[in-house]
Amino acid sequence: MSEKGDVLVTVKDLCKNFGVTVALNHVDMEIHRGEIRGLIGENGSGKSTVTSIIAGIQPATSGEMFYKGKPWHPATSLEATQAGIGIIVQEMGTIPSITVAENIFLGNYEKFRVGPIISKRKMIAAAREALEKIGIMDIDPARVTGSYNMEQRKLIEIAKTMANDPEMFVVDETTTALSENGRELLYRLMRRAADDNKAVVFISHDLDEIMDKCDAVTVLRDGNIIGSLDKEAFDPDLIKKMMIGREIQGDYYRSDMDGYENQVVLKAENLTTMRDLLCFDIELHKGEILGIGGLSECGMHTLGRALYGLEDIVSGQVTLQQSGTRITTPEIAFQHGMGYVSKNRDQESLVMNGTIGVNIQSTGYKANRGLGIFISAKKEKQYAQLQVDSLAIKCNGIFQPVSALSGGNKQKVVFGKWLAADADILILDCPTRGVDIGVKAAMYQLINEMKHKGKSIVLISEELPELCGMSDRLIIMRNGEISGEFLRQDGYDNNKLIDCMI
Amino acid sequence: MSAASGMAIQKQSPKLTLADRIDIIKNKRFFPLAFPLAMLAVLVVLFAVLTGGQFLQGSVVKNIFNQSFIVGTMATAVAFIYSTGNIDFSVGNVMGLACVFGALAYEVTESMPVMIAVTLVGGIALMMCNCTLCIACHIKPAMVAIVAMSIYSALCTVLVGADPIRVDYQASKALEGGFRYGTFILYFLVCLILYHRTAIGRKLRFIGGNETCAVQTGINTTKAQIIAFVFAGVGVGLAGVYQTIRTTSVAQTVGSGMGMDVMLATVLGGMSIFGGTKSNVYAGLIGAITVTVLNTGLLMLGVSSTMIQGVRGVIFLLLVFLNSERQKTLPSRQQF
Amino acid sequence: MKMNKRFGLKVASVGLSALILAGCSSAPSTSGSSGSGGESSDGDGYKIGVIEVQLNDESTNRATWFNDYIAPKYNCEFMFSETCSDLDSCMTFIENAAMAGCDAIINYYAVGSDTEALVQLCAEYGMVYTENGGRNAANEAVFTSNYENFAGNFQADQPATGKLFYDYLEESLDTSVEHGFIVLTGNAYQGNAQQTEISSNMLSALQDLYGLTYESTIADLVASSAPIEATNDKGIEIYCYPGAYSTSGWLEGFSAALQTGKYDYSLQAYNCLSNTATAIEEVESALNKDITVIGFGSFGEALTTAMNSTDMFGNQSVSMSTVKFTSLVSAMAFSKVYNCLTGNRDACLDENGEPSVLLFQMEAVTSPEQLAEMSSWDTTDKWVADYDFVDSLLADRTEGLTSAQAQENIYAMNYDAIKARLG
Repeated sequence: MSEKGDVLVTVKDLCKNFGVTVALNHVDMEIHRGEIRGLIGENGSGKSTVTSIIAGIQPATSGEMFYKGKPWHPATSLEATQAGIGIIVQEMGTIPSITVAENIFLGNYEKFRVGPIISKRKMIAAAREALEKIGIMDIDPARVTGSYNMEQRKLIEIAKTMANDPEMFVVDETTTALSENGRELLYRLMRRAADDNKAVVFISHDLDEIMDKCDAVTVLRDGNIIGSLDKEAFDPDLIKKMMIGREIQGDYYRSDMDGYENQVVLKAENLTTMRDLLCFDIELHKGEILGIGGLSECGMHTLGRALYGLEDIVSGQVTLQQSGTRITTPEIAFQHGMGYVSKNRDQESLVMNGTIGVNIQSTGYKANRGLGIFISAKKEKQYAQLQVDSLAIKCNGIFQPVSALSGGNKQKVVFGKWLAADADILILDCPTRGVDIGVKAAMYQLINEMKHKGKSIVLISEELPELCGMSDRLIIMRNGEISGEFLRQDGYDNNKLIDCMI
Repeated sequence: MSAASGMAIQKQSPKLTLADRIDIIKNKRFFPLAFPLAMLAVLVVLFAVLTGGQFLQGSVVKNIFNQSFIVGTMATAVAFIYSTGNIDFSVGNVMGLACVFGALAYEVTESMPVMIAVTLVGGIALMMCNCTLCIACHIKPAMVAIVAMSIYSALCTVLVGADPIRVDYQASKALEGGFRYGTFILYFLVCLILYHRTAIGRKLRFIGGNETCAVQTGINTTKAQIIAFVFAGVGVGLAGVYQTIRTTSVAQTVGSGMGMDVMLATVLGGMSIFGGTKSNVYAGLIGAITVTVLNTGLLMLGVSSTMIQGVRGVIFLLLVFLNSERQKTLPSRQQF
Repeated sequence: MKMNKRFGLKVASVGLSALILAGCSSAPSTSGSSGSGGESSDGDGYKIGVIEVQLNDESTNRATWFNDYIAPKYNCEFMFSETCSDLDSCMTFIENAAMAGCDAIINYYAVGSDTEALVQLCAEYGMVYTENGGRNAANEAVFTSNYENFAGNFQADQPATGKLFYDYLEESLDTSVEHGFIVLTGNAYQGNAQQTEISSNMLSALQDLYGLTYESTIADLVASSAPIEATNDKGIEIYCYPGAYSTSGWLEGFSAALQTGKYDYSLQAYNCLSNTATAIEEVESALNKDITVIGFGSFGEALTTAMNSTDMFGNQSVSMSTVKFTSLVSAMAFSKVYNCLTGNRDACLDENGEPSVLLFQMEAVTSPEQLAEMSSWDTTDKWVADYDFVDSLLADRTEGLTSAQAQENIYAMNYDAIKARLG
């Protein structure tokens, strides 16, 4: 019988390269039974890579692995699942067009075979049991997965992983997609598994969460293991330092109480869009950081898009106060000094297989003109290089494709594109989503600098601390309407804010 | 305990494999131009050596140009559309119908300038017709092309009938000199400069890279699409003129199948027909020349016609393999 | 590791294709020198480019005759095109052939009204040109404009071909029994001379045998681009159905017409025996009606199968068809360009001093035995056009040869003559 503390998985000298990028650099690691092991590190530090290799999602470039003492070379994730290693991945791991039950037993239909056909009834019954086992009662396994929202789909995935009773399971950045209830459910499952002498690997950005839930933590940076700490040795400052490799200097958020000018630069009046917004009014001032918060579905993302001319406006208008220009298309918005950072960075804000240069230069076709309509190669190069240098984007040069960059550096490229354009009004929709602490700090500093240069910023975020830390003024939305407005000078009260959200 | 076992020793970064090194080279800026040219040069040198220098004779070179530049002009034109990540394989039929318009106009007026003007305007008008359908009905160009193809070829059949429309031989051959070279070089240079040195090409490529992102960066995709189709129309019309003066007659089948030749030329020239930020306007010309060099060279070596098809197939496959970027995942852009 | 292996494969495939290339480039040089018996085209020999329309039994047979039989004896080298389906591809081949050092072009793709353009193109490169086609209103100019490099044309004697069908109908049709006829006129409506000739002969045979009068003229019926009933005073069901099987909906229309049960004779003016076979068989079994097929054909699997299979009534699937001897036709083509190349262009001109059109006659086949006999002939070692025959068409081997004389020699090479020699 296996004992608590036995080594379940051993990883030796594991390397993984993606082209030129080194994702894992000779990593050694052990995973023990009966413990929740936290993996923490900045974006691109290799946390997800190492676990996905263990779970058979991708092969290693070199190195060895042992599972239950035997050499371990899973060819597919299915093989790993069957051997008792489950993973709940960062991305969506369910197929929207098939039923919940089919998703839960994906690739595993044989056991429901009755004669020549697969018994749907038996599968659905088993799926219901699997859902109930982890305490989910309100998902119908016979329904099509696509009809459930992101969070519910994540829960289905959890049920899918847990249905196999894994010896070890990996939770990879799952909690960001979950509500408070979902998180609690997942925490309970993790703890129960550890108590049952299984192994749990928990990957998260959130240091507090890691420290609270894990028995031990391993810190990765740039594909190297920096060190591991047991629960007794947990110290947030130490872990942060291990993650970043230096002490974080200065304030994380802005500390000043500087206000903004009275001049209104952008105004939405009586704005009604095809979805979410009904007769919405909002004003943005010069030099203001306007925070907009609320639950994910409250309409704040739609508001951001509408301000930039990306939504179909049914009635009302968005106008630039100085010129009186009505913003009806993103083209007009762009031409009048506005910028927009989408919350879906990879899908909407970047040309992934384009180079860093191509992405940053996309805002400078006019500015980089040399003679007449012709673009000056020299100007264009400087345009991008300046941003790469000043934002300290980690890359081999402006000709590197952005797809090879880590999340934080990708976001820097997006920021760089708007900084280079010298946009006066920036609409930032979740600018720090999926970005590690180091880059986050840099972003906050940048936003603050822009404010002090007289730029106006709309900061839409799902994270309250960020909003409280940065905003001059904070608007909380609920069901497409403003449910509360708060000022920095009055101080923000978390409880009041949450009351407005729900 | 776990702290000790988890500690890793820092080691130097792993060695790059050959594949990694090739990846790095492929991402270099000048690779898309240099590589297809290098492969073309290899073919030319190979044929020159094997034919004992005959392959480099002036007449052979002229011949290769004559045969490749109708497809070359078309491919240069269509690159504007490919750049945006869209495919239009009706261009061959557009050219054909433009030729028919021009030839009919010639039949009435007996004037070469009228034929040229009508063919050119016809090409532009038909491409605009495709474009309008795309924009007005929000249909992908590939879908429009499928419909347009059958309409245009039906029109060609009806308008031409069994006997081809003839254009005066002497007048045509007179145009094959200065007029043809002049207009081609002019068109190609204008495309090259506008595409690579102004915002037009960059916007089209950016749209091809990520249309949503392009919209959010203030690029008017409708306007860009119209520009792309206009430029394509000019080139297609021009190719139509070249086609008419080359064959001095316009048959009902003119241009059919050329849409595919254009795609092949583009891919052989090292550009993805799925567009994106690595697109260019010269790939098609290089590709078209490569195809002709292969055909002429193999024939000059005395390779039998059945063997030529096989050998050419293998070489095409090889060139496409070396040239094209294979994505790690399936292409995500929707063509239809 | 895996990465490396895959890359190794890539390298291997590159190397392999390079090998193929190298192999191809070396192979022809050896075969070329042995084929022409010494020096290549620079010497006395001639290099002749042949434009093919499609790759089939016929073109393969033709290539064998040219390469293995003619090339060594007459010190010539032949070069064949890929399939050419339009004027542009013909031009491209001619240009490339010129680059490869060809002295003449034999074109099996009848470009019709565009003959002149190709003659002019060949003239630019100093090449002799002949085409598998006739002389008609559309290409009249090329015969009268005195192009030095134009050797004239060669083609089937269309009226003679048509007459084969007239004669067969006259001989086999029992007018005392009621019959209905469907006539597949093919591309006659687009001016195809052969199909016009055959269709007309079929219709006029019916006219004469039944003594009927059509409401419209035979010429109009044949030229109709839409299906048309050839209504007549005797009330005989005759239906003219134009178009090619490659056109979508054509076969369905044919099948639907047969299903009316009105027709028991399928008269096919162009080669579509294998394409119509299934539809005919279906209707035969569905309506329990014997359908007789008389149609234009050519040597090959399609005709052999059709002749040798029997329908549910025990009759031959195809009652009568026509064939031509590939080497005979090719000998005409070869003589045209060879005479010009050897400075005997006069032998290619008619009495008016204009390039002549040499004609050959097709042969009718009515039984599988006859077909088997004839198909055994025109192959390696049993060529219909042997050296004696080819010599009889070449001015430098037959003294005082004229075009008219050559024509006589060709007509003399008929079924009986061939049977006497090879039979």
